[in-house]
Amino acid sequence: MSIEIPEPDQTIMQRRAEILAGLSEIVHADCLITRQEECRAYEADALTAYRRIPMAVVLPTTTQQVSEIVKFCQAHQVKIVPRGAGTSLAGGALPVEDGIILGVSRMTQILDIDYANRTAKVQAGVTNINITNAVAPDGFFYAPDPSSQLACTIAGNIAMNSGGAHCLKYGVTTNNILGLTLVLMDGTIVTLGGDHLDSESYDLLGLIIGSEGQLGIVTEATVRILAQAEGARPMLMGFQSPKEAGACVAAIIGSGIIPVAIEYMDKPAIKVCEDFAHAGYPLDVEALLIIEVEGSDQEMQDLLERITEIAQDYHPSLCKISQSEAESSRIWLGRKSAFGAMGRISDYMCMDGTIPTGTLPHVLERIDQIVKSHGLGVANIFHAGDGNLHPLILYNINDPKECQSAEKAGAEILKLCVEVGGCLSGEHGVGIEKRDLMTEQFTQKDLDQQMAIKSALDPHWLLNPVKVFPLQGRPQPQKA
Amino acid sequence: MTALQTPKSSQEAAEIIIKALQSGQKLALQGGGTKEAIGTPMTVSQTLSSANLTGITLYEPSELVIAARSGTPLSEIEDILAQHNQRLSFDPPSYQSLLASAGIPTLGAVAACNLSGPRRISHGAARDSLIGMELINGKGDLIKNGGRVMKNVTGYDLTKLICGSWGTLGFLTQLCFKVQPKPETQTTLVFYDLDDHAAVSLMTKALASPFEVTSAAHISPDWSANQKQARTMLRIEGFEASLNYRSAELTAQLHPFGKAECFNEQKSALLWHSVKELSDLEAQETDLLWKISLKPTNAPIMAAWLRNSYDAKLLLDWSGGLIWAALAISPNTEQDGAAKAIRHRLNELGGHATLIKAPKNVRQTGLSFHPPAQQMSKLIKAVKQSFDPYGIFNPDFMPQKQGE
Repeated sequence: MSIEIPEPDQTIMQRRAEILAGLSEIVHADCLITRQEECRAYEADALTAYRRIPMAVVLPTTTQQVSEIVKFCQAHQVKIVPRGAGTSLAGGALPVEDGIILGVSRMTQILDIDYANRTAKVQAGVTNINITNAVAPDGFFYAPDPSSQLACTIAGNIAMNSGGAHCLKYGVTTNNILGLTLVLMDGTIVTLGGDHLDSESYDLLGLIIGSEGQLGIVTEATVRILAQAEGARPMLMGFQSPKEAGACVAAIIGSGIIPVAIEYMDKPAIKVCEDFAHAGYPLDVEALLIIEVEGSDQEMQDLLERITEIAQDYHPSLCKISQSEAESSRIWLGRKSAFGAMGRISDYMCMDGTIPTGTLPHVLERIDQIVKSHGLGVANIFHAGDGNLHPLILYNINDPKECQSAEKAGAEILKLCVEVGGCLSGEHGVGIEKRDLMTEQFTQKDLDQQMAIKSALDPHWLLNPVKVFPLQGRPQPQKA
Repeated sequence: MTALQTPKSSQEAAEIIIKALQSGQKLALQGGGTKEAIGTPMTVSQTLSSANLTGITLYEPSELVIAARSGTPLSEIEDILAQHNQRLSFDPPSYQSLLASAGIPTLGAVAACNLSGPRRISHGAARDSLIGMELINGKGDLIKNGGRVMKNVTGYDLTKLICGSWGTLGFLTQLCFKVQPKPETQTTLVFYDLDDHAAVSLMTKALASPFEVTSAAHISPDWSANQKQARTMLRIEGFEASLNYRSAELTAQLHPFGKAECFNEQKSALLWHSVKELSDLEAQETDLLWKISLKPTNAPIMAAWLRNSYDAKLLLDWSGGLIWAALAISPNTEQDGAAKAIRHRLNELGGHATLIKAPKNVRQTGLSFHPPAQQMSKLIKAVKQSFDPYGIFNPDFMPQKQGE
């Protein structure tokens, strides 16, 4: 594959034994993985085309340990790749050979739940779904819901500022975090925010969330929890053309109704998801919308009626409101397992650009052309309400030529997203995957401003170093 | 005498900044100048104003997004949104009557000061709606971050850093906000004669219900001369049928707190406007006005302490998460307008306090903004350095650490 990963620093590799010995003094033996066969389990995240075996995997259990590990690594110039559950689709947790993986998977405690103030304080390794599971019996939930929510950790969500299907109404990670405990590269432990609103001084929470693990290690988070709606009900709406589906989305939002979610699937995606989940998706439409509303029975019925009425102008061939809890869960199971279901029939690269929703029909047409011109197939599954696209480029990972074609097609699609006024990544992050495309969206001066912050907080560029910024044009890391 | 520079383009603004850099001058940054009365008075010789950087550059109602140059009057944005039945969901206040300011509040100031109104508890702050910006940093470079789409995680998110940085990081030239459709109507439930403790209990219960309360505030009788009773208010918004249902459910569930009066749309809108702008407060007679952010359940404790220690008038917004405290100057408020005492109390309770209104001699103590904790100073200095390495924007306006 064609994304450059720098050769490991041999002076570090040669000091491996010394470095491992140092780490073993900080954490207990069962929190330190050093055998190559075992480290191999951490060689990739969900961007499986890229693999590197780290020098060691360290799985601390306390913030204090994280601080000592980071301090040690800084003193010995060892690179650190932070890792949550390794579900990144952008290679955000891809290891480096001359560095360690610092995983938070042993930090899974829920520390405090405060219903009166609607907050929960958790360790960073807790999974997204486990926050909701902990508060659901009392009628609350944690809103951002990435498709990988059963596995992904809040640490990873914070690193990538993850979204999900329901962020149209509830916002993304950065809108739902009130406080963080952060370990800086020199080992300093800082608390940002807390259980109050807004920041004294600069909004450092906003800076850290989405910084892809490059500015510090998050060990704890205070998240906002919300009262569950009385009920939620999805409906399916089928169209014979993507254009009409896109226009219908714009009309619904323009009318003043913001559904909790509006998801879009094209024909290839519908087929795969239906085969997998038997959700009751129609197989004879070109585009399918899943539209979900919330409220009391009466409110939901009223909203869905309004939406159905608006949709009539766009000639839907199907409007079907879910009739039961079971049907609703199947509808969402189909959507949420889309990537997994697709993976059963083909290898794929999942794109993540966002576009202004008005350009949707044009962009879908161009995506189709781009992918075909490279001799590949595509399935589209995405968040239509906010224009966050997920074209899945289908290819054979064992065919080097197809791999290259897929990467090329992917790059062209992302450039298209930028060209129409959008961006390279809506919710997955840049990682290594989109690193070299950053200059499409940003000028060197834009990137210099971002990198100036990186250099100020991590002067030796040891934290997740090969990600986010193109390798060319980086400032010289400070010498040890 | 301060020289006022009002560039008409970002190019021109960059040239002014570079010139200032070369001549070793500092710059005060300004929009319409309506917040000049907040914070340490600045003593720089040049002011760089966005007053001539005006105009809406993008408005796509069906995409829920609006962009404008930083000096565009806030009212112009609100008017055009209203024409399309949309709004800025975070409800930005202008504080014009409060601060008795003559200038025109701008969109840039909304971002720079992270100004959010009562709807902040349900719809987030200005920082949550700001999705893109362009600014000129302290090296004179025009930088963009974010964009015009509402889901964007490409590169670091610098937009939030800018919100609430009060012109200390860069000169804003353009901003892009996501907007929201205006709900069909609104109504407010008003409960009477509750003390702080009961009021916060009611408000937190209401917000923990599924009935989508968008604003919750409690006004003590001493807040304004216009009212004799304490009022605790819950706003709900949406389609009329849904509001009828939700207000009935809320009234029933909150029955232990007494009978609620239901304000119609017009009365409700007026009421929340007065909460947002603090217009019921006798502004001229207010010596000191503190904005205190803390966790809602600590509000009654803080409120009791304020009342015991000072001649205090209080309004609790954000379901108690925000205390507006108007204090009369007395020997108890000392030289610093009670800054040290209030912050000392907040060290125990958590949260932070900003002095929004004070006489000049109090502002000169440099304690208007909450000094960050010692361990944070490294991060804050790193951020300031990276944007404004030569420290030319609004020098010493925001403290970078305690004791500064």
